[in-house]
Amino acid sequence: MTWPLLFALLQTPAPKQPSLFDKPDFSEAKFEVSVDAGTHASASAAGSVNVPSLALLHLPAPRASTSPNPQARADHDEARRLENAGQPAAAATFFARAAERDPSPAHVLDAAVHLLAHGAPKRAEVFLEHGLRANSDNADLRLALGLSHFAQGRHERAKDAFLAVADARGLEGLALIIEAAPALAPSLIDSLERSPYHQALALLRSPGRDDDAEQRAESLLLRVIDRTPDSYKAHFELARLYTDQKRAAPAERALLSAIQANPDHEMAHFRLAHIYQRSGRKAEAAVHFDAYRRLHASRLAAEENERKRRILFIER
Amino acid sequence: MRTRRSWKDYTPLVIAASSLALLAFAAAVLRFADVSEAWSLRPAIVFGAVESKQFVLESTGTGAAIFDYDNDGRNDLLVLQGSRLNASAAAIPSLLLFHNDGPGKFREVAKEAGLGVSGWAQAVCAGDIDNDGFTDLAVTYYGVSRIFLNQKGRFVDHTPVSGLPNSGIRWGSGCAFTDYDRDGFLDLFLANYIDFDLKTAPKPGSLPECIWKGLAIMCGPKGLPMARNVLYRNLGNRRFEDVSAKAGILKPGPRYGLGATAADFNNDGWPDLYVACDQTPSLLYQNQKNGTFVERGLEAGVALDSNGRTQAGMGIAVGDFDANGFLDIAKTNFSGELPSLYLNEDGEFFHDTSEPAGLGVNQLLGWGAAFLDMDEDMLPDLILANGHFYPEVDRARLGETYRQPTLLYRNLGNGKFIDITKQAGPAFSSPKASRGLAIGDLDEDGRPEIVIVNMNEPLTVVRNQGPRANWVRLRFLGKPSNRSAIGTRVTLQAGGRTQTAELASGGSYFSQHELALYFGLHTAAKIDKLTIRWPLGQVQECRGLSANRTFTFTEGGGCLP
Repeated sequence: MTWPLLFALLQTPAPKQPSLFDKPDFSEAKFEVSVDAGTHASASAAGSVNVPSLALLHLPAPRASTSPNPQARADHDEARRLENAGQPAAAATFFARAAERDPSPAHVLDAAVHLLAHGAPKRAEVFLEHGLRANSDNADLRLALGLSHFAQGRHERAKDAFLAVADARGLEGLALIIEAAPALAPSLIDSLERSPYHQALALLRSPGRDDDAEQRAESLLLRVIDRTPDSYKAHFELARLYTDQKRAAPAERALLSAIQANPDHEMAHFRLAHIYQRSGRKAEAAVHFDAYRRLHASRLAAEENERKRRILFIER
Repeated sequence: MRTRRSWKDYTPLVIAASSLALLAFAAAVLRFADVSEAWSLRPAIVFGAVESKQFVLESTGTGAAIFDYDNDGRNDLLVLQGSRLNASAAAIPSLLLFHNDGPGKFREVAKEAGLGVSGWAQAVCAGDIDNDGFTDLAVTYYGVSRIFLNQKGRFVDHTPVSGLPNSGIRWGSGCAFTDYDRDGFLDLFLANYIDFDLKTAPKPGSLPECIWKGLAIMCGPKGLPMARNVLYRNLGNRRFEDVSAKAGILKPGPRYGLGATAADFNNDGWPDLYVACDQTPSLLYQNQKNGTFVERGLEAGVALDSNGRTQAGMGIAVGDFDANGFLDIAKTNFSGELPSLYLNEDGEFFHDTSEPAGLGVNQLLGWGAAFLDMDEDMLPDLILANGHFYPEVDRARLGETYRQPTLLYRNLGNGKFIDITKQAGPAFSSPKASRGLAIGDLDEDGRPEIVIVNMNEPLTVVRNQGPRANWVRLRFLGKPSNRSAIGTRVTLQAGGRTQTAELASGGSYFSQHELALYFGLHTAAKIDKLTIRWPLGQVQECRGLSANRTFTFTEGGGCLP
């Protein structure tokens, strides 16, 4: 063991163990539900990134509790029942109760994910901070915390939370940051070496990207495609790059590959339609414009549906 | 053993050197001051409630116009104001017209000039509709949009006899004068935003669409009925006829239209129309040269972002930033969306280059926009005024603020821009709830000022006080083209570069830039060749014009004023 490492270990405080006296205080997370779920079941997280992001990061929906505490288990069951019955506001109260009675990572995560899904990241953060004090290595809690920072526009803190998660979900979180805050992309390039796709993303979204960055990104994406030929994301990013470079033929090929791997890739159809339109292939353009329109309309309808299912904890 | 170094090893040094070069550039060139106080242009612009807005009507804000209303040779400034809900008649402010009494001296004269008109004013566009030599105005309102006829420096409300509706409620938004049928008379395009009635409008938080990131906010535009754009043809007798249906303006259906402008995007000599639409695809009406238009925004690539996603379009800047001879479009959008930078490839197709151009670095909520060569290096830079839609955002700790800086992007000449807002100083970087933005020379030094209309705050008037390179300012008088010469296309060759620009009405956000064109010439002391294509198609060429002065050209006249 080297001296610096030994020194660093000595400096690291021992992880704090939860104690009986470390009673969770979720008072900051208490809320007034100012919108009646019954009359306003369609209140939504308009503009919120939470719902798609939760799916992207594979944060699990609440599952049956295995808590040894019967009251906590009953509260948790009731919360799930209420959520399924379309009463998420009441469900939130029971999730919080379950987490107070038994602050296990699963209970805390369920309460927080429920809040995130319904557009209440600040309140979710209170649960998550508490959960992480006792379970600092829990990747799910860390991811959810990153998402709650992200939803509040705190991209630097979200970045740190996602970087602390070693699995692929952390990378997806970082991809969110790269898209929403391109100014942070350059600072992520080196830390994304383990994932050529994400590193390419950071290179391409970095403000002031130059020819060298584009060349690096291209070779990284080609490497991804070589290993995973049906990576529609890599094909699509490559197509974006080629389009920016006015290389229509390779852009077309990349988009066709993206669509072959994912026929419902709305954006790929849109871009391909434009390439055909520019080259006078109007019939082919029409086919892809039609596909784009169909997929676009169906996505909007799905989003609207999702919005209507969600209520919000509204700040006034 | 010595290892051979790759050039990449020197990347940190290159970055440091570039940063130092940028700082040196900033110190040498960027010196801007907000002169609004010194020039007595400090009214707080009234528009809706200050802290918490009940209706979307209170959020869109207003614009300004820089023009010479009394033909005394000096540009005056018109600033629009809105109203407040439940305000008493006496408390509703009127338009503000600042007469330019000489460099830095302004006097408010709206009432004596016939513009003491109050209401929910929105946008302004300027042009001489009767070719009498005095610039008239269109001012859009929530209510009845109006035409003010300029009678030798005094305005009269011409709406009742103009052929425009004089009753009912419409939400007029952006406007532009343009001679779309090339008959020598300026026609009027009016965008409309929402079919909106204050009496029946939903309250904040009362509909699913009235919630944003967990905040109960004013409702709209989503969830409220979209409105239709209108084209009025000038009949040549100070009367207008609604030709929207037969001209093809209604064909794409309603939209949430905001900013509007007219320009010849395909270089065929006929003005096209572009409308930035909020949360709906933006519109490009291509002029068919027979009194009709075909909408081809989606096909041309200017309706959506590069991935087919709808944006909340607000304001528009038009300019040839890549010097390929075709006019490009910058469009401001909502926060979290990139501003659009549609590079016009060949007049038919555009490519959204906002991300590779470097505009993704800030994703603020944009409104007014303009291309302007701030450092006279012959490359149009880009100015974007910003401010959030919802004042409530400040209380929500969502990482966004209601007041936002105006962004200044320097054109690097290689298709890329660099954000120099911080180096430009507080005149740009001080956050405000900005909306309209107009550029024009207010102090007769030939260098344009930038007027920014801030909501419920005083104006910002930015004066460029940095060292100057060579420049030229061009003004035009049309005959038989429209007297304002709106639609005049100029191609300027100097110092080995070619620049293209067009005189336009409307644009930016709800604002009117000075009816003049300004070009930086860098070190070129002369213009090698100036080509003027007048709105009716006549082409005039001038050679050897000297730099650093204002020229006024008359259609059919010579090259020297």
